[in-house]
Amino acid sequence: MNADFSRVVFLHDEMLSLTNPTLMAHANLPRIFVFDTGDDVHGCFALKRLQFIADCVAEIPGVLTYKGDTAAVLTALGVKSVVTQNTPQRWLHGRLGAFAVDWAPEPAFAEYRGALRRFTPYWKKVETALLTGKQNPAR
Amino acid sequence: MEQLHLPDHRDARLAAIAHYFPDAAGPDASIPGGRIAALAALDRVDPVAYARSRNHLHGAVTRLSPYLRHGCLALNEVREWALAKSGPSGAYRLVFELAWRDFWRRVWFERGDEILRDIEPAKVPLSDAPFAADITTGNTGLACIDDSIHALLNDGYVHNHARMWFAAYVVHFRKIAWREGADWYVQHLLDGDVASNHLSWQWVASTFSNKPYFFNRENVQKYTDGKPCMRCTASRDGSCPFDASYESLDARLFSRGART
Ligand SMILES: Cc1cc2nc3c(=O)[nH]c(=O)nc-3n(C[C@H](O)[C@H](O)[C@H](O)COP(=O)(O)OP(=O)(O)OC[C@H]3O[C@@H](n4cnc5c(N)ncnc54)[C@H](O)[C@@H]3O)c2cc1C
Repeated sequence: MNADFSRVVFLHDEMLSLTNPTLMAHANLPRIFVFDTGDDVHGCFALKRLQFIADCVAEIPGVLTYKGDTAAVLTALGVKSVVTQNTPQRWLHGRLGAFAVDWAPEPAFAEYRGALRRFTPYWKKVETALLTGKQNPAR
Repeated sequence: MEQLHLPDHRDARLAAIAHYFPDAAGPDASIPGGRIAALAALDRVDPVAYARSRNHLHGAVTRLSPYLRHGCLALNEVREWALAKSGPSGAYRLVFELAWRDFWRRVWFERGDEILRDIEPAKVPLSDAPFAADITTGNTGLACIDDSIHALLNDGYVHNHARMWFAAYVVHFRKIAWREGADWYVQHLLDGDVASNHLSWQWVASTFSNKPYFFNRENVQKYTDGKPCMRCTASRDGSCPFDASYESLDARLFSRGART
């Protein structure tokens, strides 16, 4: 294995498109996807879901796909730093804890900074912008 | 660690994954993954028909959720596509539903793993009966529930209304802790997503909503044209647990203790 894997794009299971902005912005870096066998990750997925994910990964050119523990795979490849898309999935933050990580923001849907107790107040503030492209003055 | 080779041909790829993951449960994927399939599904979306019929089990729902969950499509792509096709009023209901996904996701970003526990006190008595095999195998004897369990186990796609019925059945009729149901459910959904799933279960349970969600037989009949009821033994022999008015179900399901 001679390729330089010191810095890679880590594709996680919420960014599986060849048009993903983080992937496109780092087209020169190696791309790694890991089926993480942890019980808190893909280890508990039904077969059909693993196959669905494989369909997604197979469509993206040049992805190196592994099975194992994410941190162990990246360490074995000699990875030092990782670019990936931010996610609320805690397992990934845990697995990438030992690497330098650039968390790129995920594509935004709505502009909103208010409370998140109920859907309706959120919707009232974002609906105008989402439906017309115009900012809602109440935002 | 093991490097995997994913064949270009889909049948070979399905077989390769079954080989790499011999312990993974269930049948092969009937729904194809990837952006090409996602764009084909997007092309079939009719936002106006969606608004009119989305609550019906055979309504014009999009089936985009597995693609949105895995990032094959972005929420904004769907929104922009719907607006271009049907304008703001025609696209309203679809954009509104897309926003639910965004809202749940924001809650997940903000609260992290707290969303795996009750966010608020329940508004009705909840309980923690054991999760039972008749549910995990789709043998409850209630056609409207078993149909959706079979769809879950076979295809991994379940209509939103059927998800609501299933979660309400588990939590309120069977008195099982919402977390047990949610943990099991998310493993089998192709779109399995902790935010949309666990927070929807909390919404049904009333630990992240103002009241519990439950349903009756009339509701099932209305949104299925009564088809499951016609082949349901419980419906014929009078043992259907859903065959009651909302008032009497409310009294029956939540009579223990006072509401908080
Ligand atoms: C108990 C329960 C569990 C659920 N678990 C999940 C889950 O794990 N993953 C998931 O993506 N959705 C989940 N949902 C939400 C919803 O049921 C699905 O997103 C929807 O049924 C997917 O089918 P569709 O793409 O045809 O939806 P459509 O009705 O065509 O809606 C279009 C898109 O809008 C979004 N959307 C619609 N309704 C909701 C909703 N209530 N909450 C969040 N987003 C919504 C989805 O991204 C969906 O793909 C759950 C709902 C319930 C009641």
